[in-house]
Amino acid sequence: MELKQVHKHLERYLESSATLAEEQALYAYFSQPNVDKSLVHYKPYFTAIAQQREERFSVNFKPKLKSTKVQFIRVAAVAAAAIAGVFILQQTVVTTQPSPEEIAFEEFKTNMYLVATQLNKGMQGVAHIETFNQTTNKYLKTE
Amino acid sequence: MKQTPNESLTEQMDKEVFLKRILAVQDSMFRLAKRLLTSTEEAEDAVQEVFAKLWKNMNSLTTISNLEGYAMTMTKNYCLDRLKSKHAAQLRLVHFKHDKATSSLDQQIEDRDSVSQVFDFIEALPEQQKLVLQLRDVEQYDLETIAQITELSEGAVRVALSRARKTIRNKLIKAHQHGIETGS
Repeated sequence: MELKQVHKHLERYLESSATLAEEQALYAYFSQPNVDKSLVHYKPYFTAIAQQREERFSVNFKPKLKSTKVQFIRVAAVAAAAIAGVFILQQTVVTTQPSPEEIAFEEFKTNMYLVATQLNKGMQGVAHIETFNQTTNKYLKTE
Repeated sequence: MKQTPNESLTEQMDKEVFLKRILAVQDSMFRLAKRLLTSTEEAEDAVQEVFAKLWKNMNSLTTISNLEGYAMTMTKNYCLDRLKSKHAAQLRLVHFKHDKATSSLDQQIEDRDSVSQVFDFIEALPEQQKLVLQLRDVEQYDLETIAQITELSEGAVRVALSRARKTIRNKLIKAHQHGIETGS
């Protein structure tokens, strides 16, 4: 673009009467590395604006496109899975950790075992007495 | 002709078209929000907020021909409301920045980075001018569309735009002369 033309465009630019095409031509002119000395102070502005145009919105906006019915089924499925999970977890807790009743039963069992062994000893003692009585009766005939 | 054999399918297509249309303006919305709110995080929040509002009112918006312009207007209004609600804090921030720029020599040297200086010049403009300048120079809308978005008359847009550009031009000249005087 002719320098004279650039000046003209700039004037119209400042009066807000330049067309978008004319403004585009100005951006093109100022995007080249070397501009005329009389215009050099404008360059930072056009560079800054060109930079601005490159800025992008980086956050993803993802609204639900599926119908609400599908959404409900999904929510229900997740809820069911969660409940099942809690249930199974509780089951495993029961099998790994004995309840107080079971502990009591185990203690009772060992106690009863001890009692039973003592009882058996006693029974043996009784059996000895029985034999002794028989032999005594053999020699001490009262008839 | 409206067909109803598969209502949900056409509805979903409408949604996708709508989404595409608003996503097409997301960058412009973001840049506008950032220009007005001056913070990336706040601008992102603003755009998402406006998206959510648009999405909620989709059914009443599909008849609007200029959905893009409407989205920009909503962004503008949202940001101006945000600024109003925290006006006092904003004022303090501006003053703080200004003091820093004039008092610290380091800052002045840094400001010779003339491109970043331009952003400060834009920052210092009145809101209306900032808005119009952004819509024209960065987003390259025609004056009629800018008038629609800003809810101003075309004449008012032209005047505001002209003032903004001239203010910046004057500051650029000053900064340039200052640079020459100090021998850089």
